[in-house]
Amino acid sequence: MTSIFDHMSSDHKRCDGFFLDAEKAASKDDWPATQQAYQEFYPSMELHFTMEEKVLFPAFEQAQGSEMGPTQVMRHEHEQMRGLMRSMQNALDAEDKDTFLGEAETLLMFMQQHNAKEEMMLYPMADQLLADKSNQVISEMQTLAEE
Amino acid sequence: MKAAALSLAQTPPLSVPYRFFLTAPLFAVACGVTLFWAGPDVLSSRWHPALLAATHLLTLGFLTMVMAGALQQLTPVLMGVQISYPLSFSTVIHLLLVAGTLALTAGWLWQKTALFTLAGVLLGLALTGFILVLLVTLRKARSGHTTVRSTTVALLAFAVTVVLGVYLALGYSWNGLERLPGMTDQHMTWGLVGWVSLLIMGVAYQVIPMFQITPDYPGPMMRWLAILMFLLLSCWSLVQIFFPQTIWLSHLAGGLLASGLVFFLLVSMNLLSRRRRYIPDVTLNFWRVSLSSLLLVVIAWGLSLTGTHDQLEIFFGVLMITGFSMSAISGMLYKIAPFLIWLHLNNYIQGRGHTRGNIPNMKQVIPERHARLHFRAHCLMLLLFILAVFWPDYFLRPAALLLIITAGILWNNLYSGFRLYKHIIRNQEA
Repeated sequence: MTSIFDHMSSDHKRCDGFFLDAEKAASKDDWPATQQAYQEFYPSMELHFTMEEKVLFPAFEQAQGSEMGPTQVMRHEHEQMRGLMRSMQNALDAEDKDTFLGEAETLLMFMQQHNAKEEMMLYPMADQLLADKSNQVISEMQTLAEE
Repeated sequence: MKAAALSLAQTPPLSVPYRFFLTAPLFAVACGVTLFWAGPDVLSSRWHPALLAATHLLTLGFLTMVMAGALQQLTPVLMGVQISYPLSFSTVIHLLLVAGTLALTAGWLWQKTALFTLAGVLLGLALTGFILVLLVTLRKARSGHTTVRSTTVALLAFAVTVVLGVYLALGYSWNGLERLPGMTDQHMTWGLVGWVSLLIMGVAYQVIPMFQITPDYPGPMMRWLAILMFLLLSCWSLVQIFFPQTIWLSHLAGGLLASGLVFFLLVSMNLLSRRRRYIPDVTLNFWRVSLSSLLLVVIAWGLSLTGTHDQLEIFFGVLMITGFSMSAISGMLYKIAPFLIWLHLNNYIQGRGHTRGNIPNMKQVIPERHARLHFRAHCLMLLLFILAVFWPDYFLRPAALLLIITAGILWNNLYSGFRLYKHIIRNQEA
């Protein structure tokens, strides 16, 4: 049985991979390749956020009996990352290398800390809190991914 | 499980860590000035008062200054626990640490015993307060990450360093305190191999895989190496106190400690060589210089076993402080400082309900080429210091000058980021 932790952490790694490809291509001024990698990265991140916001967090909040707490913070951080990803997209469209790489550096710092908080605290808590419902939560998230 | 008690987002006000970051380079400048003023003679013995003053300007004024600021930032963000009253705590610790460091170094430079009493009291208060609050806070940490464990161990080693240091400082003015043989060696080793190295190790476990995108450090290493090093340090200390004549035992404990450091640096270098991030990064360069310096430190220590070489002891100290520690810390500052400026600007603008306007990204807060200029000056400074250990007449003053320049560039980089922050906030409020 996969845990929420395993499932979501491996998705973080997958998104990291697309991010690194985009950053590498941009640093070589290869805009078509940057565009291609970014079009993998952006939707993958958006899907990851949606899986959390639509499925995992509500389940977590219900089990916890409160909407306040860590999920609120994670939602807020998603918004901040969405802002950075939009700026990256704008820089990419303008083929502005310095801005793209600067926004990318900032996003990487933010994203890695966000992921670390989820992997070290939120996911283990979710696995514990949801216990027998974990499988159902994971399959609901997979359904979202297939849509 | 009280999930609501988790405070994942609580980043303390910018001034909490940043006051420490902006103060630290000024102490490094003061160290350069002291060495330049004292001249080549300063390296004639490790007991030279100006050398002791210069050493503490760096270890307390730079290294501990930055690490104290960074820990107040990292504890809530990466380890998920809040320090109570962060702003008052930071203000008090900062003032005491600055005043205590100045009193201590002035004590050596002007040979006034009363200043050592003052320094002992101020630093004793600042550092025991800091250590106790951090230890209590870390006990509440919910993050399972091993950084919590290694930070705790580093703080315990720091406690030993502080107790010995305060005792030694008070000993200058109070005749009743007998200076036991080997006490300064103990103070130095607990400070550099305990506090500084263990903290850098603990932070590396988290930041190297996270920001350089490398594989993780091996789990057992992260769980046990810091504790093992702490136990070895304790054994080494006890051997020094109770069996000072049994040289082989002391060498054995020292050798095991050195092996721990070598193990850390080899694993770290291996991880860095497997980093998945393609684009170069000034922090990576600083890490490489830091780890290479650590390798030289261990080699120098090995050579010093063959007999007493005053120069090797000084070489060891210079490289441990400016090579290993200053490099790692400077590199980390180029991640943490611009990120914090960005984060606080972003939170501020969002708090006012604006959409994300023109918040400068990290590379606009501190441009990459400015950080690289610092890196190049830093490398030249290290080279000159190494040469100065062996040919002080030719190289000490140039090295001191380069330290002033290097620290000046770092200060300017950190300050220009801060100025940009102030500027944007002022414009928003206008």
